[in-house]
Amino acid sequence: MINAGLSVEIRTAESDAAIKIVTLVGVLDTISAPKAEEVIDPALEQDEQNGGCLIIDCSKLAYMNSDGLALLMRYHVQKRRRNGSFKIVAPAACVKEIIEVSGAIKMLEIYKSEQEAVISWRRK
Amino acid sequence: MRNIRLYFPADLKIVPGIRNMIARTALTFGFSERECYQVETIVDEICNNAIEHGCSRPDAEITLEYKIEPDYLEITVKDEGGKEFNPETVRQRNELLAGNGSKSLEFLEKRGHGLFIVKRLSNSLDISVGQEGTIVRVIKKKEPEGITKTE
Repeated sequence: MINAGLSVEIRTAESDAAIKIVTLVGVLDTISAPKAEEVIDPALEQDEQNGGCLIIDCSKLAYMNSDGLALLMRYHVQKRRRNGSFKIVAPAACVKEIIEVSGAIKMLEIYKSEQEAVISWRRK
Repeated sequence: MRNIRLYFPADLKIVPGIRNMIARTALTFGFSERECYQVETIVDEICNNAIEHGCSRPDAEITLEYKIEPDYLEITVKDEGGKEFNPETVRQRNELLAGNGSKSLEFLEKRGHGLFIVKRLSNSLDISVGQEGTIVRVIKKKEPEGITKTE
């Protein structure tokens, strides 16, 4: 339960250059969300015009508050407007509960694994 | 009954430590791990709101009271007021979320829906706004063992 800080890892999927995978490790809250944004946004600029697919791996995210959720929703809206796709992978129960109680569950695509998320993008 | 009262500067960087401490205390007093995460989120959201909307002076102070009863927790956060903040407007805006997903899309990407989450995670949310600031009082009941609240 002691949570502090966030690390962000960004990579392009080996199987498909249109897929960016962001792994969040730690806490996505009021302090860390703007910092995460600063790291993620430049990496997304390259494929902004083409839409593409953004997968956020939340399996190592220990905590998320409404500001963290707002960040996820911003990427969801951004991808939707550019005809791209936004997917969330394996959120912990406490993170998923925030997505559920906020109502965002109705809009977000959540997958159990990165592989499932990638397959769903290919089927698009 | 056990009461804890904290005074802390209106600085967002302090909130993670506060929310962790209160969640850990709840765990000590028999709340489940899931309930403790909910308590952590409740404290996080109402403290952040108090700091962002209820403090106009650079050295403003937030007061947090935390009452531990055998079957519930009562958390009260008081700010000094000063900035324009209408909780009813926020609440009405948040209510849009519950019904129509498409209308809420643009709203959700913006910040400020923490109170809606607090309302959904708690058993009671009471907000009073006065000249001396805003007081947010939340009650979180302990769920009986073996019962899990589902939405």
